[in-house]
Amino acid sequence: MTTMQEWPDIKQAMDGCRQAPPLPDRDAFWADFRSRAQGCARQPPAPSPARWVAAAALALVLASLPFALLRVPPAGAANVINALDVQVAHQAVLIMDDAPSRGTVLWIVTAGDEGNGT
Amino acid sequence: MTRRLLAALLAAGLALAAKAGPDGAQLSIRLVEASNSGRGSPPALNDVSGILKGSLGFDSCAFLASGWVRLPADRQTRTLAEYAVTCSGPQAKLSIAVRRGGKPVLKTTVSLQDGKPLLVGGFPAAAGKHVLVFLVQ
Repeated sequence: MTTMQEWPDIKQAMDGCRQAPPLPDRDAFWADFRSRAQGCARQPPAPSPARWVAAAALALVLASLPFALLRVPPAGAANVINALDVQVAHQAVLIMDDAPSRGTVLWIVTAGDEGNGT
Repeated sequence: MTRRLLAALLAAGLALAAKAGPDGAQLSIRLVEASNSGRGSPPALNDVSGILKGSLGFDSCAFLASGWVRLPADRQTRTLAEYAVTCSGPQAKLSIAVRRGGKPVLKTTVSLQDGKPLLVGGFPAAAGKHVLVFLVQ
């Protein structure tokens, strides 16, 4: 078992055994460095302006998408008449949807309409 | 350079988004005289001649006048012959007031869909009936 008193002797003995590491040859070191540097993958170049433009265009499309979706009416939705106030003399008011054209007709029936196609 | 280009694109995109919003559409208003004179219909009324014939029984229609209103409307009045049509509000809640010869004819509030015409008519005319055609495009 090693005692505390023996440690200086051990240290001295190990110091005597230590050898200075050999210094590498300067030219060989730089030649090796250059060859390694050439083999390393380079940092990717900064995105080109065209990529910035494409990214901006994509962002714009995404930003305007909600507006475009809001603009699209629900499938099959028709015109809606929410309120109506007829201010001339009339007999009836007809409201009808025309399926082929998807249009809406608001027709005011007045006296003498019998011979007018209504 | 790139930043300027980005800023220009952003401005263009915002303008595009504003234009593509729920409003910003145009409302066309046409005054038509529907009749049974047998003269047919002009091409400008192809989109409504079917309604006038199929649903209302008129075989002819004549184009009399037209006007445009940008939506949302801000109490904009268009004069079509003896009719004055005043529009207010957005496409989804559009108020329409019609006067004929200065006298009120009707007021209505409608929600219009793109490309689907609204025909408001039945007003006596010389040879038949006057019809106002509203169409959002």
